Amino acid sequence: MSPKQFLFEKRPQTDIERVTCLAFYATHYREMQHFKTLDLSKLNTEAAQIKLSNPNAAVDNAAQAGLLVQSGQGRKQISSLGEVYVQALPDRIAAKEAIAKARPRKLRVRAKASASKKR
Amino acid sequence: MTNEPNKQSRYRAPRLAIFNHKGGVGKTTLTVNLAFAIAEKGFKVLIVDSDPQCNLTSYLIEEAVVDDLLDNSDSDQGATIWSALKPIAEGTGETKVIPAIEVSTNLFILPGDIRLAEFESELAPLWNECFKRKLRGFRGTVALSALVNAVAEENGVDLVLYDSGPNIGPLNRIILLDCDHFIIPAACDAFSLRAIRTLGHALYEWVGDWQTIQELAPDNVYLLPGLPKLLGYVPQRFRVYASRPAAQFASFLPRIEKTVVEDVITVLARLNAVLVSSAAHPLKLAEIKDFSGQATAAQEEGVSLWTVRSGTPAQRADAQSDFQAFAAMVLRRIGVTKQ
Repeated sequence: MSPKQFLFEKRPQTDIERVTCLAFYATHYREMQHFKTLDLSKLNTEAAQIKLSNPNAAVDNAAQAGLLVQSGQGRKQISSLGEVYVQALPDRIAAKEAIAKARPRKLRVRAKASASKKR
Repeated sequence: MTNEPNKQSRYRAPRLAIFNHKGGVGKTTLTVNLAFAIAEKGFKVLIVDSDPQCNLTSYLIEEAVVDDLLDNSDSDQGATIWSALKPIAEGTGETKVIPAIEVSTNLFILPGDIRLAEFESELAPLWNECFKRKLRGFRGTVALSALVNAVAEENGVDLVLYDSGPNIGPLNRIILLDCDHFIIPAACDAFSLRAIRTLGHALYEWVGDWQTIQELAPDNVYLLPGLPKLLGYVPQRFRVYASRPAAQFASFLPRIEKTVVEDVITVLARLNAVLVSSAAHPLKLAEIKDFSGQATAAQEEGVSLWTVRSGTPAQRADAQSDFQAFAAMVLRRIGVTKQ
């Protein structure tokens, strides 16, 4: 499958989703476990997509969302959360549900819970 | 690929150049948005970035990828126009076919390269060799045309658009001689008027010289058509006030038309009436106002002026209707129809 077909099937709607899809494609179709932003940009070009407005920011934001993770030497790799998210696409509701299940509980929630116990 | 001049046939897609040797008249913006508009109508368009500044390439492709393309253009895996023409420029072999990059639906690009300037410096002696009937001269002069043939055929392209650099050099000469049609973009200022005056005379010399070369050429040699027909002109980059060009720009509009008629049409008609046979009424193909911030944002995003996120819906709708009407007129005049 070409990256163009893959993105056509997954229908990412934001730059973060697009880089995550491209990371998934790189991992499973190009056997690139670790990649740089440039590798994703090249795949984006190969997929005949419009330019990523800021590829570095998109990759950083995807990492912040837990969809990509650092893998040393300035490279990234797709996280298990990212894998689950892309697998569920293009069904956006299913993707959000999958990510909600897979994501660890937030510290803020724990803090609130411990505060209510003190009361 | 072989680009043996006598074995090459010309691919069916018409070729159109947006040409004015003055810089800053909006050639690249006009080319890319015309290409988007034609591609949206369902025709496959190949844009050839033949400007060594490769602005069009960086308009459509991410900066990091462009840098990577340029860094590797000298290698065997090179994928820019220079990579394809390098064997000809260095006299080491034949043109190497490179794949066009599909940048969006129906839109392909042959990426430009700063090193096209090296190819251009070789074109001057190659041109002189054509006068001496040397095959090397013909092979070099038609190399870009042969590359476009191969790439256009591979992708089933319906129309080829050349984006040219702002000069009257040997590269632009072969581009114009390879084109079936050309359009003059003009800014609404005095320098642009001056450039149009010299443009007609430069074309007159190029076409005249090529006619001599054609007469001297050995039989069965693949040659550039050498008959670029003027389609019309497009005034650009003027401000609008109350839905009309602002006064300081409006005064230039009739002067541009007059200059095109007197210094391009009249001059070219003297050489060959075919050169102006497509320049029907109206000569002005479109009026493209200054989209300023919207144009800058479109460059950043690599999209058309009407799909850019910046600007108001009304501005985007303006851009879309202007370019769709322009595209329709261009297609009608060059006779490209859906099969």
